[in-house]
Amino acid sequence: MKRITVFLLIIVAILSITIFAAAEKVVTFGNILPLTGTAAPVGIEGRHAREMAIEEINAAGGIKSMGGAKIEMIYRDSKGNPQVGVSETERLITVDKVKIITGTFQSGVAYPSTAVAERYGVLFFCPVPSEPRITERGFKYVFRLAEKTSWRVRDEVRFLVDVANKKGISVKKAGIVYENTAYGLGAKAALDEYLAEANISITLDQPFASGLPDALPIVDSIRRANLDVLFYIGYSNDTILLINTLAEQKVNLKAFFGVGNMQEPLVMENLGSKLEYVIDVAPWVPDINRPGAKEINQKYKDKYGNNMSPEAMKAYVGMYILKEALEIVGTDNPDDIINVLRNTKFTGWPYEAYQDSVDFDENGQAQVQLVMLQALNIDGKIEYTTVYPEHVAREGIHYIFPMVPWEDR
Amino acid sequence: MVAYLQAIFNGITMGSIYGLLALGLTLVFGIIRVINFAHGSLISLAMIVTFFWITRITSNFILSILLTIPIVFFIGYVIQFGLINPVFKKVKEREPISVLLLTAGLSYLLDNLMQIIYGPFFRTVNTPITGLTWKIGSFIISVPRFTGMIVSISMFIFIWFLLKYTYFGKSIRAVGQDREAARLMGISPLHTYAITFALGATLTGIGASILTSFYYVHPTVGSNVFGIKAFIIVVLGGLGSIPGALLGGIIVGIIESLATQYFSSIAATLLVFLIFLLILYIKPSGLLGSKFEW
Repeated sequence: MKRITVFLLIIVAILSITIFAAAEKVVTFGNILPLTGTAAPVGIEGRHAREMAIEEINAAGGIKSMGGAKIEMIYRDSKGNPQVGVSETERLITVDKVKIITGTFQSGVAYPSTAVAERYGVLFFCPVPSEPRITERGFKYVFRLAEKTSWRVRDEVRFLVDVANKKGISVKKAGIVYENTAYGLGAKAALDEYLAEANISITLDQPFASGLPDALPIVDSIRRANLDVLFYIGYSNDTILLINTLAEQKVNLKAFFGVGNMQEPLVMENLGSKLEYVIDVAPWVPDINRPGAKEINQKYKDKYGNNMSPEAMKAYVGMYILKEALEIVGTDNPDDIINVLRNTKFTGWPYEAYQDSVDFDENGQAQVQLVMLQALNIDGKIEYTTVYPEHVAREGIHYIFPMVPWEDR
Repeated sequence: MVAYLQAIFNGITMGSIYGLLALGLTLVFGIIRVINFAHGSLISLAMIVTFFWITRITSNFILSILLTIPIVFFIGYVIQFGLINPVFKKVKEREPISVLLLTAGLSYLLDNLMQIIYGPFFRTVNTPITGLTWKIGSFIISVPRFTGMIVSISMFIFIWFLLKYTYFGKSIRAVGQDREAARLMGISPLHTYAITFALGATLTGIGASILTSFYYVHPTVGSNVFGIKAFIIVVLGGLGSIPGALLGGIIVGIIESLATQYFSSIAATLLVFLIFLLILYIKPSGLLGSKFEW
């Protein structure tokens, strides 16, 4: 009798644990970001943005169609290294058994990592990497919220031609300084195409390996090439070095274009007024006049101490897109989710803070409207302000072209 | 012509700084016969210490370099005295492989420790020489790099003088040549090792401090960017050779500067390694390398 009682008690205990566990339903996502190494600052931003979104979603009752399942994120460090990205993706799929992965920061990591997910039939949702080919391989399970690098370049060249015509300034010689990674090479290929279309010749073609020991040789080559405009594709550390050296050597240009890479808080913090007149392109900026944008940015700023970068915003909105897709299908089965993603137009909060609406095409690519930003001195502080197209520009702000020479600043 | 001279001059100034960053490595190898894999971490460490002084304690750049020196000296001394010497005492071989592994492990430890304490951020400091240039016609001299060159060459002369002419320097060389014979002459090899390592760390620290005037500070920049460069330079110039480090540094600097002008930055990196292999093929001991330098 005693034995039976003990046996029953054990059964009851096991059952209650199972029931308790069932009540705490979770859906686990995997995430790959550079959390150490040179790209760690931006990786950490991406993590912060996701954490903020997940906190909000879970606090609001999780995914209701899945019994209020809470979102749990496994963060894995890519170190910015494609091989590490691939093995971490593999580990998330085979060991942690996740069915949805988000990330990466670098295109070079996203390109091979998404291929792994595709092979396993796992959804890989990329809010940030912009290398065009990521969504041009006919993959079923890969989605991208970011614009393609080629779109950024296309819009920048259009802006350049338009502005040069309006001001009657000739722009003939362009230089390209780019990191020899998927991101840099993708931008370079697009620049070749669009600059040729605009009849601007490329007189400096300067690829470099990330982690420059000294930017002086490159800056010297920029001076010698006597350029009208420079396009620069690289990440924070090299950006800081390059602009500091351009300032030191007083190399003047009519325009300096980044390709979506100039708004990192660390770049702004370190370069300050040296960034003035630099032009960049983005789908989103903290000063953008969109519903909800200011509030989300303010919350992020209060929490983490700095403005959201476009990348952080994309990561944040990306979490809500995934949440809503799960809400609609009620499972975390990738095959169901990809159908929803392909056929849904995401409107309202928080998507409208980023774009009018978000929808993905057949290839999993979101349609994105871009704006031109220029770093300008607003009340003694360098800020990226929306300057083009003119009708969405910040009120009372006009772009400055050509750049003011270093000697006159 | 001016552009060509400008590129060579830029190469020499930056190359001299590379040389100074490699000097500590070659000194430690020449005397202690230890290949210090933690060399790059010491570069980052010194940069971070300088950054700390200049942003928190004093805005005086020279003072912050002077304040960095005792710290890197002390850390260098502790590494040799507390970590490497005990291995030497236990192992009979002249160049134990375990020391190699120890320094490699130490490098990981230091890099990660710095990431935890300092954070993974890039930061730049404003020193009185940051962003300054002198113009002579169309020729431009970058003041921070030029200052680096002057400091570097002074340090090489100082070390050469120290080792060649002082009693202290002679004792260091004696230990480098024959540990047992030096001991018979009344020199304590382990103590000398510790001082030498500390001296190497100090020289590296001075180079790293100068670097902060135009380069960003980051916990892994020493290992990833300058540490590797220092190894190439030291092997190129001759392991253990003091003038070899300066020569190697200048050669690397000039190749980088010229090749970036006439080919590209990527080609420059490639060319450095090509010439490195070529020189090793022709002279395996490095340009100025010999069994006993002094």
